[in-house]
Amino acid sequence: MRELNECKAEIFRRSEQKIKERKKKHMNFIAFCVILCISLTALSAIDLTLLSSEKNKDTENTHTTHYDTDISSPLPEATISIVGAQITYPHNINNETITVSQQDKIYGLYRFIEDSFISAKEDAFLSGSSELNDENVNCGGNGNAARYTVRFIFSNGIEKEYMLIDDMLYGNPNNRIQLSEEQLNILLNILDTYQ
Amino acid sequence: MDNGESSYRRFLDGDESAFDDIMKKLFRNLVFFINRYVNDIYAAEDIAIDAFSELIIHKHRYNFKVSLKTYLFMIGRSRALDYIRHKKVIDLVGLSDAEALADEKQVLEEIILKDERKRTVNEAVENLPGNMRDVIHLIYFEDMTYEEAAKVLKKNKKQIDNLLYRAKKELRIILGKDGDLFL
Repeated sequence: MRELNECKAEIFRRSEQKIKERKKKHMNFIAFCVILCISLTALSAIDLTLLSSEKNKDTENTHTTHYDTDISSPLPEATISIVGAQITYPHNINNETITVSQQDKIYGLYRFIEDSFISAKEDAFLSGSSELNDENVNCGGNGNAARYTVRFIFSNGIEKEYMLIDDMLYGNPNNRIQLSEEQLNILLNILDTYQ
Repeated sequence: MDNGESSYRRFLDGDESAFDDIMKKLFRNLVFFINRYVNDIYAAEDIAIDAFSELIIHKHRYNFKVSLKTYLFMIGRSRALDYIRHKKVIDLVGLSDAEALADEKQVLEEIILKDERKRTVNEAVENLPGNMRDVIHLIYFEDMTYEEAAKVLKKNKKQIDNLLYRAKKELRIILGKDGDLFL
């Protein structure tokens, strides 16, 4: 049998050893937790990036399709922007076009035309008229009519063309609306500022 | 009666010499108690060292609601049972080792049991079944109360009472006509 002093020394030696082991285990656990947290953060960041890129792709696809089929769709400012507009004025013998590249002005013009189509569409829906989607739209008008052509060029390469003949505004492919006197005046004023 | 609590408080306050007091007061008794389970004085000593280490490693685990002796005996018993449970290989003790063990045990008994009567009872206690042996040990040799013994053995007071009654009955049979004198 050991002496009490020896036993006491052994007790302190073991305690010290166990405390060290505990500290080591504790540190390992903390290290594990830190690594786990970093991994989780990294994973969630990657996941979020993937999700947002997928979402962007979806939005882009939806809007592209929308533009191709529906003329009265609003401009998706976040993803696609108008890079320029070409305006052809009436009584221009050489058919010269004026290119406008000031985005705020182009955007204002585009928004006005789109809004005109939207409000006309709503009116047509309420009154049950089919004028907006008339398949036999005659874009020609009579030979003497004032004819403006506006072509918007988008950042994704899509182009949209509108024609204003007298008080009729034509959009592509077969949409037309009759502008009110007020609408016509506003539109002509906008167009004249570029000339 | 203070069973090491005040010394332990002093130890927690930074007085290392207080640990010597606890050792002097409780260490041998704990070894003697654990030896009842493991029947190997060296293993008992080792387990007692482990139990005492708990006082240093987990300083705030002991809440002073029971006596320090009870707390240490609870740890000791639990460790001893673990030791028995995990001792899968039965050690074959050589004759010389067995003799050495017996000698060590006798030395310990002489330290703990200074009273001749207690030594006689101790011999008789060896022949009692496990639980009875433990309860007699705690109450008769360690002067524990029924509540303290119940805590150490994880039983209720009534069970301790019953066990003690039966143990005394058995001891009277073992000790013969002198049984009443000892108990």
